[in-house]
Parts: sequence; C-alpha cells; structure tokens
Amino acid sequence: MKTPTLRFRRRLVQCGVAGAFILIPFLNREGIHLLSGNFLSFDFAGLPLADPLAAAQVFAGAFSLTQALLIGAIPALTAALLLGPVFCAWVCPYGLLSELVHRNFLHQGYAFSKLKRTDARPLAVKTAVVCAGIGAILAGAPVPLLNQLSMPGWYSRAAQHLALYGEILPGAALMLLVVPALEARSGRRFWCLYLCPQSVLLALAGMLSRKRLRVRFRRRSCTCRADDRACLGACSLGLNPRTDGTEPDLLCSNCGDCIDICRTRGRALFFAGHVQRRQGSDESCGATPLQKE
Amino acid sequence: MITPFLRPPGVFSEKDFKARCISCGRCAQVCNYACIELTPDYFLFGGDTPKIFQSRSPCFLCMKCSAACPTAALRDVTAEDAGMGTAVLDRKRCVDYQTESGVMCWTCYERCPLKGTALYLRNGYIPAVRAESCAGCGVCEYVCPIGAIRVTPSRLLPADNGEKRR
Repeated sequence: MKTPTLRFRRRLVQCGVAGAFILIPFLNREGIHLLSGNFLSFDFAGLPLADPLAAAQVFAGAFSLTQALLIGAIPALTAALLLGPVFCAWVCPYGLLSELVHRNFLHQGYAFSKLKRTDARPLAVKTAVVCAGIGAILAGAPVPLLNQLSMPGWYSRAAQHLALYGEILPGAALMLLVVPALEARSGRRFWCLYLCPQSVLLALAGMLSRKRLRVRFRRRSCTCRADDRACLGACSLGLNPRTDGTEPDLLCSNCGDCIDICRTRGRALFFAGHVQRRQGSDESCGATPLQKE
Repeated sequence: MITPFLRPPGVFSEKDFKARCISCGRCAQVCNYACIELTPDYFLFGGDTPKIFQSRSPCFLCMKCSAACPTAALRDVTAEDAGMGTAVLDRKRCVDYQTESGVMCWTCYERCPLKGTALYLRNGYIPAVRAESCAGCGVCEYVCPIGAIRVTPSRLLPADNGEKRR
C-alpha cells in the first residue's frame, strides 16, 4: 500500500485542528465544556494549554504568572524544543490558509526567495516585533498588544464570536482577508516569515536543542541536476532545504514538503534528530559543502 | 444615555485586568446566562475583553467565569467579593420612598442575588443599598421598572486600586 505523503498527513492534522476550533465554541454554547478556549489559552479536559507569548506578555504587564499559564506554556515550548516550530506547519490554521492561498491562487508557484534555512534576518525582524511589543507593555501599554498580531488567535476568536453572538468579528475578518491577500500578491508568506510574533519563542526554543528534529540533506544521495529546483520550489516559505547542517536552522518549520518531493529523487532529504558526523563521510546532512548552483 | 458597562466578577483593578486579559474568551464560554460580551476596547484591534451590559443582561453571580479565567484577570472569589460596582438608589425616583404613592415595589430587593446583605429593607419596608456589601452585579438596575437604581462600575471609581473590590 502506498504510504501517505507527509503533506497528506499534515493536511489531516491542520484541517482537524482548524475544524475543531470552529466546532468547540459551538459545543461550549450547548453546555459541553470538555474543551474550551482559543489559541491564546485553551483548556483540554482540565489540562491548561497556553500561547507562550501570551504568558510572557501577562508576565511583562502584571509581573506575575498564574499556574495555568505557566504550565500551559510548557507543552508548546517542549514540542518546539524536541521537534522545532512544528506548530506553524502542522497545527496553525493560518498556516493552512496561507499555504492554500499560495497553492491555489498563485499559479506561477512560490517565489524563490533564495533564503537559506539558516538566514537570521527574518527571525531578527520577528524578534524585533516581539521586543517592541513587550517593551511597550513594560512602558505601560494597557493591553497585551502582540495578541492582536496572532493570526491563529484571530481565527479562533472569530469562531467564538460566531458561536456566542452569531456575528462576524470585524477585526478577524479584516486580518484573515487582508493578510492572505497581501501575501498572495507579494508571492511570499511574509507574515509567517517576518511578522508572526507567536513563532518567535517557538523558534528560539527550537534553537536551544541541537538534537531536535530537522530536515537533513545527504548530498551523495541527491540525484537531481544542479539546476533542478524541485525541493526548493516545494518549500512554501521559499527556503533552500539543501543546507549544510552545521549552522542553526532558524526558519524551517519541518513541514516536510521538500522531503515529499525528494522521495522519488534519491531520498536525499529526510527528517532526523542529531546525526553523528563521521570522519570523511557526508552522511550528516550535507557535510560536504553545497556546490554553487 | 449609554449605560457604563461592568467588568465580570473578580477584577482587582482595571489596570491589572487589562494587563492580564488575553482575550481567550473562556469567561464568556462558561457563562450560564450569556451575559458576558466580548467587544473591542478600542476600535477593531483593542482586544476583545469581557464586558457586562447590565441593562441588557446583568450578572447573576454564578462565578463560573472567575473560576475559568487562566490568567487571574478575573480572580476566583466568592459572590460577596465580586467587586463589580456599587448600586446607587435614587430616592427621589424610587416609588418605595414616595410615601404618598402607597406602592410597595421591592423588585430590586426581591431579585438581588445578595438579598438581605447588599439590598436590605430599612425600617422593614424601604429598600436600601449597603454599599460595602454590594457586588455590583446589575440585577437591580435590570429589574427596576422605573430606572431608580443604577450601578456605578468599580472601574469608574476615582481610586480604582482594588481597595473597594475586596
């Protein structure tokens, strides 16, 4: 039997999560409270889950943190520590929307941004956004400002409003229409790459672990010609997956699309945790330098 | 006149509340009476913080919202310590104070969730508010047929530093 592609499995998870966050507010309205909340704070049958950035903002604003927020932020950060920022590619409903917009309405394919997975600029921009938000809260901003930049937050808040009041939340409608439209026009998923503040703490947590899951490149298995950009074109973030594994991986969210495309091309790209380098071997994720293309 | 809204029970001070509220909406989701509305504080992007418009649907002090709040923006307190505001009774309008009217309304007194504590009968027959015991739930304002009793939200009090709200 044919093994399902990573993208198929990912779509199942993404659609399941996106559907669940629409369904849950309606179940709550009917008095079923086993699951409740949104992407900023969620209650999973008594287990608290929270957006780590929301917790950080509360701490910056009130200089205290509840047990629910502290415990709630741990699962997301632990997942990022072990698996990288997989939330962005496998869970986030805005990630799904953004990808679908790109795949279906941007017929010329992804703009090849020439970004390496190790490029620090996008993460630096996002980190600056987060620092500005936290700084504003410390300086006396009245509300947790960065929650207003949470696209999954807007998505789930829109569903809550629809269930509770039968209304469309105007801010959510604006954000969920305008941002994907701008992304489609620009040909880049710039929100996810350069602006999304929620992904910053996850990316930073992922950087702490050298053994975390990441896409590895085994150059000797690559059967593509130098000008074949199949794996580069598969990445919805426009990243080059053929990257030497010696530097920290800052942008890749482990979606696995490049691995899918490589399945019929030598399986040079694959998921792995820490790979031991052997002397004189190129087994470890492109230990030989990448040839100039 | 636009009625000033109330914050749900358990708010310490408006500043502390706004710093803590992350708009997760769980208070509104668990509210038995659907009286909590999530509306932006400023224009579209001000954060959907919970509000109670007592003239539309007051709080019945079930206290589920404050127990559900994960950030302690709403603290898990008892109904007596809800600290949402204080009812103010206009003696010139209340028919119970008009001796010549001969009417014994008592609607506010009968419906008050803290009947006998926050609203009591002075001299055994005239409703009166005991400000220090009033939770400010807004039920009295909602039920009063002639608008003789209004709730002043705690957030509008001059020194909103949690002193009144305990």
